[in-house]
Amino acid sequence: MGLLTIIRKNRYKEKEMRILFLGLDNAGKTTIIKKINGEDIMQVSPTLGFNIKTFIHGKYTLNIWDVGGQRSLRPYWRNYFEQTDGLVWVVDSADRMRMPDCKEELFSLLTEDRLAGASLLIFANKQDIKGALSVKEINEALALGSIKSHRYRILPCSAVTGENLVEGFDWVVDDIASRLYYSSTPAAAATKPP
Amino acid sequence: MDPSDASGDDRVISAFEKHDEFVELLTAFLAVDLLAEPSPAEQLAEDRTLTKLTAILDEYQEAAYLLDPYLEELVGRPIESVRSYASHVFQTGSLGPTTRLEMLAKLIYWYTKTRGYKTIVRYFPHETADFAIALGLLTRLLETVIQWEVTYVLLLWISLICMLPFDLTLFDEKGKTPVATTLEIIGLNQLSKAGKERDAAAVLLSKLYIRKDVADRTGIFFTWGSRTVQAADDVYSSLGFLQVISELLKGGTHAALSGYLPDIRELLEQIKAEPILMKNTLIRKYCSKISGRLAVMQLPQRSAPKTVRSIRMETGAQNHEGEAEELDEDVPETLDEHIEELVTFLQDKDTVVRYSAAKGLARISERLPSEFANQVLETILSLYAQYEEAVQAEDYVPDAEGVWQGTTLACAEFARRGLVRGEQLSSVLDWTSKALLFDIRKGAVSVGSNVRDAAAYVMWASARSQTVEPMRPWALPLAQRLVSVSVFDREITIRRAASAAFQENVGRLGLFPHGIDVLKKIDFYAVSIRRHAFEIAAPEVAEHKEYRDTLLNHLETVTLRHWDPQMRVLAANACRRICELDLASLGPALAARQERLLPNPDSSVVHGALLALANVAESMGQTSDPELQSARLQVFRSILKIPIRRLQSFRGEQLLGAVCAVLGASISHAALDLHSMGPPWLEILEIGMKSRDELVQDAAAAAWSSTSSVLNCKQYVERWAKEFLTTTPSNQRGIAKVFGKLKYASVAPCVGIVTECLSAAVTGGDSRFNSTIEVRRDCFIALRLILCQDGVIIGSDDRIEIFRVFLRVIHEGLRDYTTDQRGDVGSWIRLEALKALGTVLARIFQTCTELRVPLHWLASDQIHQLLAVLLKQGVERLDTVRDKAGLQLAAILSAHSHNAAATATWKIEAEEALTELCNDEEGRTWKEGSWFFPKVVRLLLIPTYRTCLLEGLVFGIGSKTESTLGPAGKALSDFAAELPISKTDEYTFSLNQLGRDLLSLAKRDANNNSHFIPYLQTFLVLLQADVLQTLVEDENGKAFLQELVSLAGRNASRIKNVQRIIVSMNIITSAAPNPAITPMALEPLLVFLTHPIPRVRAETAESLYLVAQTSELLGENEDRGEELLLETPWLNGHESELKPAAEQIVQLIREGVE
Repeated sequence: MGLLTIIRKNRYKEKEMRILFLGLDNAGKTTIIKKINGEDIMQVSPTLGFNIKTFIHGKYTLNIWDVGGQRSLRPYWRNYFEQTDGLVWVVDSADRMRMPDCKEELFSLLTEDRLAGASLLIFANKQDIKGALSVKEINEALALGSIKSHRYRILPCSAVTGENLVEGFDWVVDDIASRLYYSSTPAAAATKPP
Repeated sequence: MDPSDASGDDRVISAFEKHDEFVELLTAFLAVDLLAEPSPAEQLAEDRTLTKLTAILDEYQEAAYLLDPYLEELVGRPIESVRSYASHVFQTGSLGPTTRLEMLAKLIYWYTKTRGYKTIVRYFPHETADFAIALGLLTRLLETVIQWEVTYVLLLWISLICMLPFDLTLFDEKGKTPVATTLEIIGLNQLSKAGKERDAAAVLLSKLYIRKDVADRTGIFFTWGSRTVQAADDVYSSLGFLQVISELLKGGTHAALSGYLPDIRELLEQIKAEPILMKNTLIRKYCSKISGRLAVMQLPQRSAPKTVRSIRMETGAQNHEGEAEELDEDVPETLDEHIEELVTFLQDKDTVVRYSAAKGLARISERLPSEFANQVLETILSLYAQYEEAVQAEDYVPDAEGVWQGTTLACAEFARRGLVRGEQLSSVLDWTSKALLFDIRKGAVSVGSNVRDAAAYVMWASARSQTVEPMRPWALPLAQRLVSVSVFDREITIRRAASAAFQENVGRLGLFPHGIDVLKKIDFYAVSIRRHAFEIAAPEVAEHKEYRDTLLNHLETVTLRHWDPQMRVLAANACRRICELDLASLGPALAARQERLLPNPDSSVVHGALLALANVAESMGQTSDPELQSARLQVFRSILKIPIRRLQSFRGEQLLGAVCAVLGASISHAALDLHSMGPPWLEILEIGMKSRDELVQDAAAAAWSSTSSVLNCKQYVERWAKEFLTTTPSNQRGIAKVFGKLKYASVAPCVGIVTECLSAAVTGGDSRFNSTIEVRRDCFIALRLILCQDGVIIGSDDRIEIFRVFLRVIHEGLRDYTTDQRGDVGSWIRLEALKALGTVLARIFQTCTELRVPLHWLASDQIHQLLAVLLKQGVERLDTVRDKAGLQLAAILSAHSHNAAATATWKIEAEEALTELCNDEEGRTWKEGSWFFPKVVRLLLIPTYRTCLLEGLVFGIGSKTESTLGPAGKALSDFAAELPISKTDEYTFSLNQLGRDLLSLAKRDANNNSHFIPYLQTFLVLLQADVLQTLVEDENGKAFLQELVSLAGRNASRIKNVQRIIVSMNIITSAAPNPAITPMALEPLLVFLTHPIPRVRAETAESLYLVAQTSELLGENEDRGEELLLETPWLNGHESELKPAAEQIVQLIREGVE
């Protein structure tokens, strides 16, 4: 049993999930992660590298990959021993100008084979800023209604106040769990013998 | 590198996509009556369905959890069928057929195999009422012979019901054995089985003994176990016993088992004392497992230091409770014993044993106060120490593999659980960095990849569990080592594992220099292909100075001296590419270091050094920097350090080849000037040329090539041309290879000698003709290479004669149909001749403006002769030959059409049709017979190519067995069917003409069966397609047919070759129904029907019968004739019986006509 097999098996055993944080630059991806990690969010500079952070969420272990704007790290979206289970797409709700870019990027992302089947959470971030677009407006601007390839949900949030961050993770984790870890989800427990 | 290239095992399945297909199959599979015995046909069909079902399950083996949402349906339905079968048996008391039950059980077993029995068993029915029927069925079945899957499934089922809290005595019947006892007896019985039933029995017994109402029997079980172990003659029973214990320790609580812990301890000791038992790997594995579990059980839970935080705790409350004070709890005294035991198992010779020992040690340490845990790790690390000196001497021994792997694995398990702390981190990383290089050869196999993998595991786990600060001092050395292994390991899995560990470190700790840039260059996909890893990824990483030296160092100290010669070759290439990043400073230094290794007694080291020198010298040769030139000269001189006798010694071939490569790469005018001070290099090159090893010869030929550009080799060439006539085939090949490579621009006079020598060797009938096929092939290759050298032959008017000889030789080569025990080896020659033909014609067309009188070089009719013989190869039977012919024709036509001068000088007949054949829109090649033949036969309309094409087609058709109509035969008969019988104004070709052409070609070869039979077969194909028969309407045609039949029937009684007789016979029977032919056929038919060879008689009768069925051959006598053909014992009848029958048949046919 080699390392790659161990990684793959452990993933299941320890109920791990891999979640990719993506979005245009300055959307607030790293800030969100720092916020939930209890770090100081005042000092965030553009992410150059990529960071893997591990969190416990309920009975699951989340490996969160914050790859910044690094397109060249796409090969890591999926490989033989690790696949991406969830996508968190972070939107700067206050940046009206770049909504078309944001939409284009998101849709090109969704055509990626390596992300097929991943659950998609859209964080409409920076709701604390005045003049930020509402969820409804972003929904339209990004034409989310036309997404057929992925299960998705959009939530308004703020990395600064922490609003809705946990709720967002709740959804994405439950959605992934219902696919991957069926036997340990409530849905399964209801039908399961003692 | 685009990751999407990766396919096959890299496919990631993210859902049970085959659900619908599976359920459909399952429904069909279950829609049968279990109580009925299937008919053989039904059974076959059901078996097939089962195979499909299991095949789908196999696809999900690696991601079986995806099945979970559907298991209720998938498992529930078949197990429900089992249940209804069981309750039927319970009610009626009689056992019906079990065939279908067995298939059903096999499917259920397959689920457990795919998903694990624990998950699957949850979907089994589990009502108290099921207990009696399940047990009833099992008891009945065990009285008969039954497939093990049924037993397995039923045991699992009962084990599940056993977990229900009901009183077992409820099921006891008066006067009968209590149920608990029955279960125990069945369980113990099955526990001694060699197969999977034992596993299920172990589960059942462990569930049974955990029950409160059976607890009093546990003692009995231990007594039984103790007896079994002491007897030591039954490995399976002992193993089964251990399995139960292992299950009990896992599921049971300390309290329930506490009374038995000393017993278990005792039993382990007993087993360890039995060499017979300890020989069994699984026994040792369970001992190791149980020992670990025993120890863990005696220790209190302790929450491991938390390194991970929870998302919900975002109020800022830091989670440091894990670092709470350490209570000095009582650590049981027996613990030392367990640890000692597990450390021994950690050094076991089998991986599974080591693996469970490593896990056991880590689990125990998780529950120990950190001081104790550190001691355990210390003990483990001390195992490495015994190799301290060996490692210093870079000497890993194969037998140490087990210890290294076990120790490293334990380190990994510790690291993963965050148990490597403080000072120990350095020890762990230091040793595992060494383990990452454990790669040696033991006999014919490589040893150590699992050590390396475990080492990568340690580094991967460290990235996850360590924080930045303790890792900082290790960042650079780890990064360097992991990169080196990612690109330079021999095994793909290790390169990927090292790459994964590198990635984890970059992402989690961010300490590796240029982490992300490097990661892109050595990602999972980039390191998958060894060549790519060595030649592209490694030099790319070496662009970063932090990695350059360590990569080179790794190549020099590890890979260049690797036990696998292939690795040394790759390493030398990689060395070169890395040096080229900064040749002036890296090249000479590397060369100097490698030169110092040349006196090394280890041939692998010397070989690697030579390869590196050759590569670096080649790079140096491409510059004019004086310092690099002097370094290059030094490389040349370094060969002096290798005595010639070492190159000629046993197994010296490899070194010889490498020395030739060095000489070829470093020869220069300066080297020539060394005279007596230089190595005896010409001597070495000549030894290399005459080596028996083809690769050495190639290296020598390449070296002679570069030599000839600085040295006049005339005297050598003259001597070799003489030697060529008398020396061994192997030497002849060497000479031919060198001849092909020499640079003739500087040794012009040699061209004549060389081409004369080579062409004589391939010219049939010449006294110098060489009978060894490989030599002839190499001669062809050499001739082609010489022809292609710029300005040597083509364009030099006084060499026109050589060119003409060359064209003649190509014709010779294309006629080579030599066969030996390897088959059509002549095809090697034909392939080379085709290549030569294509290359040379294309070259003439391309360079025709440089020729003074182009048509002197190549007359128009010569082109057409050459194209015709090329086409002949193009319709050949061998796909590879056809393909090569097509490619060459394409090259010729393209060269012709692209040069206006060539187009003006030479007209190629049917150029359009030929071009069309080479440029299929859908990219089909000549390999695809069903597409190609129908197109190519149309070229028969062109007289220029016709004869050769016919010869080729006939040869192809003839090589098939008589009855198989290949694409060539089909295409020819379809084409023939469209031809008019005689020439018309618009058609220049006719069926008559085709027949005549074939006939005259056949007659030319009538005395050579291997040539003649294919013609007969071609006629037969045309007759069987009812094509030739139409000729009878025409006077000329009739005459042709009669001639054909007389040719086939001639001397029928005297021909020896059975194949020829049978084809002839078939021609006659096929043509016989035609009234114009019938009278001529009678006599030969009689000969065939009474032929001394039984097979001929039988086949004649059969053939006649078939013909009579579809024709008027027998007229009104059909019934009588057919009866005779069928009833007469043609194969083994006596002459007295056969002759009258044959005569009678012939008579009936005669009457039929009249």
